[in-house]
Amino acid sequence: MEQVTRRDVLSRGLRALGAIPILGTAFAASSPLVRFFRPTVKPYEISPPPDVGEGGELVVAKASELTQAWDYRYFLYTLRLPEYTPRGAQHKQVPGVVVRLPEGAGDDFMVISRICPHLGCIFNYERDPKGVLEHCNYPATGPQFCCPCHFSVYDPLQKDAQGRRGKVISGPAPRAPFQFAWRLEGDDIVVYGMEEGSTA
Amino acid sequence: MAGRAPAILGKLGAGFQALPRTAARRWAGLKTWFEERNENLDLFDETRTELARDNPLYVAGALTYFFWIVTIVTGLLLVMYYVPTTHGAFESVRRIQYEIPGFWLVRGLHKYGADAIIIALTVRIYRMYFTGEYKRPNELSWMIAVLMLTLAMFSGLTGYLLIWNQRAYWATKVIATFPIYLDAIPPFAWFHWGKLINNIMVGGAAIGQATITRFYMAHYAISMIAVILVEMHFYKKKLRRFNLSWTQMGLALGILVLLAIVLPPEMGSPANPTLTPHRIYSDWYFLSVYHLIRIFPVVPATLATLAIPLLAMAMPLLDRRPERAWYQRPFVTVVGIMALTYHVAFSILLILNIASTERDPPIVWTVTALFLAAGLLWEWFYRRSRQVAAPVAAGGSAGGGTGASGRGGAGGGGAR
Repeated sequence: MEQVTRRDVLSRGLRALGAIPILGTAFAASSPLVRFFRPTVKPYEISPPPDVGEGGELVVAKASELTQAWDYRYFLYTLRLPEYTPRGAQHKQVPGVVVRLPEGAGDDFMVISRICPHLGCIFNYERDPKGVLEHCNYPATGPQFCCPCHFSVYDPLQKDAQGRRGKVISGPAPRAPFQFAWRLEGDDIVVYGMEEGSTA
Repeated sequence: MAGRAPAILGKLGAGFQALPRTAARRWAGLKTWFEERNENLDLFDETRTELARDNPLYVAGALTYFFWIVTIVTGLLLVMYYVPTTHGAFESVRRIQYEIPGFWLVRGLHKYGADAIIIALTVRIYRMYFTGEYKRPNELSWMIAVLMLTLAMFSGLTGYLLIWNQRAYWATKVIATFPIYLDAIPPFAWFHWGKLINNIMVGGAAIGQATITRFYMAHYAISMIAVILVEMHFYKKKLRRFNLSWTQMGLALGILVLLAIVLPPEMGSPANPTLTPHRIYSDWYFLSVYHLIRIFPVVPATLATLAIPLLAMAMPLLDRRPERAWYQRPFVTVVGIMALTYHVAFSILLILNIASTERDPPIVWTVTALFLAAGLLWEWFYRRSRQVAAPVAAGGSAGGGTGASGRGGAGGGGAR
């Protein structure tokens, strides 16, 4: 076998530096190319942050209406999302659910987006455990959230490692659902923002 | 030490001077490779018309071209009445189906023509796989065949969003969310390219008007660009385009018409972004992939969906021995049978609605392990029997590791 000297290694390494101008050109060309397809990218940006939506405040339910444990209410929270059309944005209604948790759960309510963090379907709140079995093939023991697309099941009583309520207990979902930012104002449950990252 | 630096720089200079020559040699090699494959290029079995007389499997290519032209013509007609907006799309398709005279047939031919393309392409690809047609000098034909199926499926995906019904909306949402999971691996992770692909596909942060516009463009562009390239190929090589008899074409068209009458394409219900239906299906040719993404965690599933077509395309580079018969390359054959089995079995599981995310994964792993073990064993026994029977003659091609067999493959192909 041919002997490889230190000189060979060094000179090959130095020659490989020739790739830098090529890569540099590729990166310089990539920004305008990307802007061609995605107008919200700023000039010279090669790692653009994802487009995200903005939402206002919304009273989603009254605490006095959800008196029993596991009472729930569906709501639609409007987000203004960037769209690459002459209009520039669209208003999209994000389905959410507020659930009254039983005593000893740690919180009184949970307010989450019903957009499945797996691939974006809308999952349902199954108050009757039989519904989870029927729609997600999962033998549930209590009320749970169940996504009809790929059978992900979330448990409202458990939190994941990041402290999000609705830990995944079955199916392919990679994380707990997206959480709404909310506060209690007297009797009103007010949503004022949403965790970023979901595809609405 | 000080005297060494100029020596290194001198060698470096020589290296840089040699760079254009090295590059030119590599380029010339690549060009020769491409020219030989281009001479043998076969897009729709147009160079295998002799074989089609005895074996119906060789009509698959000609049928693909015929159905493609049917789909293009009917598609151009549909454009007259289709309205590509979120508010108008569903209603315009409803009018095309039920009110505008004769257009139920145009839509039927378009839909079933497109389905027929997928069937013909799939049959052709499995045929090419099991008969070893992807080997030298037909590597390029094979890669294009796999690319064709991928584009046909993508064309189907962009096409069925245009109806803007529930199934279309949710299937698109699922497909468009996939690239986000590429952000789990570098270099996508460093630059958020996965999310970028998602934004570009959807035309914003959520599915809406921009998505319809972009998918409408892509649905057009795929076929229009491809038809120009295919036409250049036919024109330059003076090849016959329709390699079917009038009877065959009449029969094929007759089947489409019959389907359009007996099973008119469905409308579904208008897209509702706030309600996911309980049983959602993708189009039938995506069903096996659909089951794959249900039983695997999402990142491996995403990578698997990307890896399958890429691995298929790389087949000529992975299997470089000259033998073409299925029994002479046992492992490759077994992998092919496994792919076909899963392709069919997953689809059937979903169609009959008996798929289970709890029960299936262990079974799938076991069956995969059995298949691969059987393939390896068979390969081993085959190679050993060859070595025992003719140790000298088989030395180059059947014996030894991949490196030896690779070289044997290239040499054998040239001598053939």
